[in-house]
Amino acid sequence: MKQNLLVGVLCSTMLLQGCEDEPFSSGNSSSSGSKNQESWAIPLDEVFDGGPGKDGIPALTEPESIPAGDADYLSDEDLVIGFVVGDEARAYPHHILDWHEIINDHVTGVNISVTYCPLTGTGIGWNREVNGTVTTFGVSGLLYNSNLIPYDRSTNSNWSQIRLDCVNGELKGTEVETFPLVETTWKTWKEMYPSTRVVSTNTGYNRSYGRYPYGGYRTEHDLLIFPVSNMDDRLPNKERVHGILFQGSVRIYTFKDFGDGVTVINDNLQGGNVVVTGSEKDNFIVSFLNDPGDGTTLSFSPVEDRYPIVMTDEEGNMWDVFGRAVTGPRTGSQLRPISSFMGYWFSFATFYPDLSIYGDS
Amino acid sequence: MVIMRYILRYLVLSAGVLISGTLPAYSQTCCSGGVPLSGNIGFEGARRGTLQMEVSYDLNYLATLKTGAEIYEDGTRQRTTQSLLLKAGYSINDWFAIDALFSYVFQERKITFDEEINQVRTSGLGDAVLMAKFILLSMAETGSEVQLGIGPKLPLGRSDLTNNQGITLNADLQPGSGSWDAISWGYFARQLGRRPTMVASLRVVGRLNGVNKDYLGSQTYKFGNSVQLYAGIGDQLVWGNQVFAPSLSIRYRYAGGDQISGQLLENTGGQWINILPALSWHVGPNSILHVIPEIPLYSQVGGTQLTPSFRLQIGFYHSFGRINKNKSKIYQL
Repeated sequence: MKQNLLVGVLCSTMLLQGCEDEPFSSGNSSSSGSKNQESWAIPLDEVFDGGPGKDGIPALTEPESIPAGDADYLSDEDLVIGFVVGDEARAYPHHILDWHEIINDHVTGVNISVTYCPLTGTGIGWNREVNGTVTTFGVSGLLYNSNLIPYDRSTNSNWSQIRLDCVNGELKGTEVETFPLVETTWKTWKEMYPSTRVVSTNTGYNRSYGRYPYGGYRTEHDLLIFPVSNMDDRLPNKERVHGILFQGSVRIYTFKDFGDGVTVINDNLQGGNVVVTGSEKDNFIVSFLNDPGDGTTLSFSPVEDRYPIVMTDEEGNMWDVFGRAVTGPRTGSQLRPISSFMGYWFSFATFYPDLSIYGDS
Repeated sequence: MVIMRYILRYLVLSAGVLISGTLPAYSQTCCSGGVPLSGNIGFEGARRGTLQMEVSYDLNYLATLKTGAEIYEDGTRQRTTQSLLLKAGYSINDWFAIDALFSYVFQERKITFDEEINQVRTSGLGDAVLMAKFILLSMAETGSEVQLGIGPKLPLGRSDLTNNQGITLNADLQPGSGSWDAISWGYFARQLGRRPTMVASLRVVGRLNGVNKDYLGSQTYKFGNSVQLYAGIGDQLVWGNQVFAPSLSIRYRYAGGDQISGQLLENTGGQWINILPALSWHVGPNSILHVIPEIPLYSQVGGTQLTPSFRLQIGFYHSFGRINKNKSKIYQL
């Protein structure tokens, strides 16, 4: 009798586990991917759960920033992503972004989300004012082609970082408006903007910001943690390159295209004149449409040792690393921005299989 | 001396299996949130024709975020794995037995961010283990028991479950690993001093994991290999007319890193040392109810991981046949 009672209690305990309020989301049911595909703009069978879950990697919102001189946790060779509005310069270190992936910030009236995917090495500045509403972005925990899928907290819609559009939810089809960013070393950034502020490690989260959380991932070219839809062996998978997206065409620029000093490349992509400037030694590449706003095409040449100024033109204007004329007759004007960003080679090759490499015959 | 000889042989054999088959040798981090299969296989020895059965509930609660041995204060993430385990063993003769372990698994991942809770839950039939056991020394005859076992882990559980949008979940939320694995097992116990009911035991479990060749459609996934060592002591006490058997065990577990498509994954693998103060109640001549809490003492994880904070197992054991009256079970996770 005592035994029967115990067996009954034990079995009841076990059965209760299956009777909780919320149904198990997957259970024994087969994949429901096909019925949900229509709500997604990307192939659902190429979207994967990254592991930590939604908000398991916590995005930061308006984190504390400190003067460059107080940022003891950074060394000269550490990579940062820089943003400038007017005279206000802000640096977002990889050391922070590796752990948070998205920083929603407000810099001199501009609402920006610095989105960074450690698996594709892509850092892109998003305008977080969408359809007139200021929102914040979070990390959905999903990946498409190994790339970050942010979600906006206003509508819970999912976005593709590299595609630059909303791929699921109420805002599906909405395109991202980007802000130009400069990815470079902490040393170069400080040289360009000595009065810059930088995100502090006092983020409200307890993380080891000096430690790269993905081990040998950024140097082991064969290590991809999630499947991708296309591979291209023209360059090593994890080589950091600069990609320009223009009129449905993509062109890649590698650091080998640039010298130790500042190099300027005047190029043409899909009928559009672009100017690409950078330095291998100082570790940056940026690009713009060769159009100061009035349709003129200028002929740029490099300027050395005058950071943040990197170019001049035949009119005598001096242009900084964000494409702004800082001296000369066009002072105050800005080269038209173009969708471009840094990232690992494989990520561009995956999203844009028809891409070209500058200088490739 | 005989026991020591067997122990040494077994340790050498297990080490050989692990080292030879694992280059590179890594082990299963997912196990820290995974299904407790290898730690539960194996009954103590019984006489010929005895059928032993046990049904148990296992809760593994993970909410401790660590890098290496350092704890990060972070209350945002929780993982729980609840397993229903059915274990059966049949003694074909006095020196050979077959054991089997089946599982049904409920897993949950819970993230709390800005007071919002995001949950993903999965459930399903888990993997199973079969094991052939050789009883080299019997407790009833010699006061010592030595058993060695080996067997496969069968990939009965699914490893392609999706969330409610149809998106494939990653490996640690799947009820099955998708791979055939090999498990080697050794159990050594000895009655202590003049108390025949007091037993010290040592258990070693090695797990050599195979490869899931169809992970996320185009990749392979291999959980790292692992080795577990349990050392414990237990006794029987009579209270009123009831027999209770308290025991205390220490569990050491080493797990190497997982591999995706042959590449080692960061944030997997590690070492754990836990203490298990258990109590069993002999509710009938052939039936035992047991409760085993498991409390972490020390862990050193690979990279940054959510690691177990607490574990509990409740189980009911019944033997269809004669059991050793002097036996003191030291239950194991």
